[in-house]
Amino acid sequence: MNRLRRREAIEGYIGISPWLAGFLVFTAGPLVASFVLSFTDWQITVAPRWVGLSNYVRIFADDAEFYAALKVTFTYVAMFLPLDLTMGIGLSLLLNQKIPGIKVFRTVFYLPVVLSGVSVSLMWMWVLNPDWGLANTLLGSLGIQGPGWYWDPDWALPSVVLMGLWRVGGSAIIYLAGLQNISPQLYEAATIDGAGIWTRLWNITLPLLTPTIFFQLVMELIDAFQVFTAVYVITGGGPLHRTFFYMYYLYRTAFQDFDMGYASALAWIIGVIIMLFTALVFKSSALWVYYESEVQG
Amino acid sequence: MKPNKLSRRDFLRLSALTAASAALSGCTKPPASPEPVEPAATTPSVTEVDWWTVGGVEEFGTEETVEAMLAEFEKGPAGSWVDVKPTFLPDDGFSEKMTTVIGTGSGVPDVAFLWISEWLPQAADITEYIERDDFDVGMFNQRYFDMLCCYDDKIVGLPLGLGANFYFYNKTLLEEAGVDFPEWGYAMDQWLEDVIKIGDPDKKIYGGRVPGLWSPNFYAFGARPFSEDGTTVEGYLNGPKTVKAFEFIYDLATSGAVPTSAEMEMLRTEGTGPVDLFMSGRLAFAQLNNSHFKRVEEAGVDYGLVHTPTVGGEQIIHNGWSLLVGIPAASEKKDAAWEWLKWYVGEPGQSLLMLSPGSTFIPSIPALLQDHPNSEDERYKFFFKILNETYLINEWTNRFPYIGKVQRVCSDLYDKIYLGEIARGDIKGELDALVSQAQKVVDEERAALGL
Repeated sequence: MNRLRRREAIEGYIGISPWLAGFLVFTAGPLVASFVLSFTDWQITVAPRWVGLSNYVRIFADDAEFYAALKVTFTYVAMFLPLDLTMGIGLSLLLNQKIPGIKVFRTVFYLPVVLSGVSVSLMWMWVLNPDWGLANTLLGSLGIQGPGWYWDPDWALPSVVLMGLWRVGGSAIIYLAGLQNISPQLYEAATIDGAGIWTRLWNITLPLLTPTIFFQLVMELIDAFQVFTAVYVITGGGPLHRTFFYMYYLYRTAFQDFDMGYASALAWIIGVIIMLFTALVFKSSALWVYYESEVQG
Repeated sequence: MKPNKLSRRDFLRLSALTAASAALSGCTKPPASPEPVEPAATTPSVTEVDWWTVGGVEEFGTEETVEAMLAEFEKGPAGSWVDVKPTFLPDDGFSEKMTTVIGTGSGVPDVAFLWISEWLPQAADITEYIERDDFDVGMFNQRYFDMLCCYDDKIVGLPLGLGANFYFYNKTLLEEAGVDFPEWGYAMDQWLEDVIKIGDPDKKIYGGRVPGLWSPNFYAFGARPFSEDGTTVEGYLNGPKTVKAFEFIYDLATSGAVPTSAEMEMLRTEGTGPVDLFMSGRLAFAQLNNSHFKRVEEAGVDYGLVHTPTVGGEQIIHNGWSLLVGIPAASEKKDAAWEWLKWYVGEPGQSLLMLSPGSTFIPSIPALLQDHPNSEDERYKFFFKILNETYLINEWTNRFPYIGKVQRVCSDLYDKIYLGEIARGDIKGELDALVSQAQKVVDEERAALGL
């Protein structure tokens, strides 16, 4: 590297040094620390004791709650992601219409995203109360007996999914940005050629939206594995462990059982799982993501 | 002549250096100010004591009460060299903050509540101070002192205040249902009968609520999650008394006279029981505590008090508590911290807390009780009777730090009972199936504790 390039590099690092310091202190440092702690038995108030792989062995060989938490979390991801993607795209198509007041709609649908998780959870606890909540009252007016929602083992997990889908406005805004990047001339040309609304959607909109879908899929996948607030505030992992999410299990192990070493091991395992799924999505993207600038053939 | 313009490279270089300087200056210590000229030394230097307490809870003292306490402390001999700085933390955030600072050893207060047993290995041993100052620990309620303040052959703190859970009953609801007011010796079966008689689900009036998992109502049956010495689960978790306790819960949950779990979740505040339901006059029997006397009265409920219903041949059981206040071992000002601790938890501090206007505080020093503003109040007499004449289950459970994890093993069974997803006859089988899991928890935890 010549002197000029070296100087430029040094100046660049100096420029990003505040961010770099923050990253090392608040992200990289704790990451490394938690990795090391995952090989220890650390009960917080006594010094950590090196135990090697014993935490990991115990997790995989002897911890029924680990598998229960994974099952609930995977089920949630499988339920939530397709619905979130579909509803997000559908909503963005609606929000992309040029009608009076559309900006008001865009704001309204985005509002849930900016609200605090705890207050939203408390609100949903009231809305979904089986005895006098808004949801069952409305269903009752239609002659439908509402379920027990968070307090019914069969409906507890769908209730968490429903709560998550309420914030679909955030995804919709991202898709909206993607939609607005699609050249209108493509639609004009397709219309001239006789393409109907569904043909245009299937052959123009969705393919050109795939980069945005890819981005959202990765982000939502990572988020979906980390659901915690609703469980902590409302269900406590119940009833009957039906909302026993992985993050709640991790939190309980760390801050209620004070088993920090074991909790660190749990954290690394879920981190690896999320990375594997993310890598899978990246790997598959070559099959279904189309970039307009790509040269085909 | 063109003015000198800053080139892009120079601008970027300047910005980078400015940002880096700002970041680095934030990381460096400020320059030491010049040494002040010391005045002629006639007084010792003042030591600042960082005291963490809970704000917004009357029982721990309002901010005005705390200010008055600090002013009073300053008048004493220790006040000339100890400066107490209170930090008010929210009730639900105190534990997490303490756990974090104790775990990291950084930012630890000098005096604080030590209400989680996992913190106790990091509590300072104050035995030496007690002996040095001839501090009379015999002044405290000895049941609570012995239960809380000793850890690993050390004295790790002093007990502040007293509290216990017992039943409040709504006299109006009992009268309307034609139920006699309960008296000392009130039986569990009678309680179930009364709850069912009072409950009117159509009007959302409930006789009682399903007690929490492993609450005193379970122990009232003689139920135990393991043996007295904390080692053996078989025969205890699935023993006849525990089965009977769970079957009783089943009978209560299926009676139709209790609120649903959804309703309880919604209306429960402070995590101490169904305060809201009781204060709204919709719950006949509620397990509350002595700090609720004033609130319930202000809500206009005509109420009486009774102990946890009892089961023939077993002790009357309650959940009683005091707050352990101690000095974290990482504190570097233990001498000063001790001065505040012994004043705050000793007669002066507890007396002030007791006598502050509107206080619901009960001191852990029996000698102060005669001066309690409500010492002639029948409710407080009942409360003292509970403390003195019944078995406080914490005296046993506090000996086993792992008891919470063992009790948790039964949470699914409890949910099934509350949701009506199990037959009464299957309860024994379910408990049998939980024994191995619970025993595993006991063995692992005891091994980790070196027992």
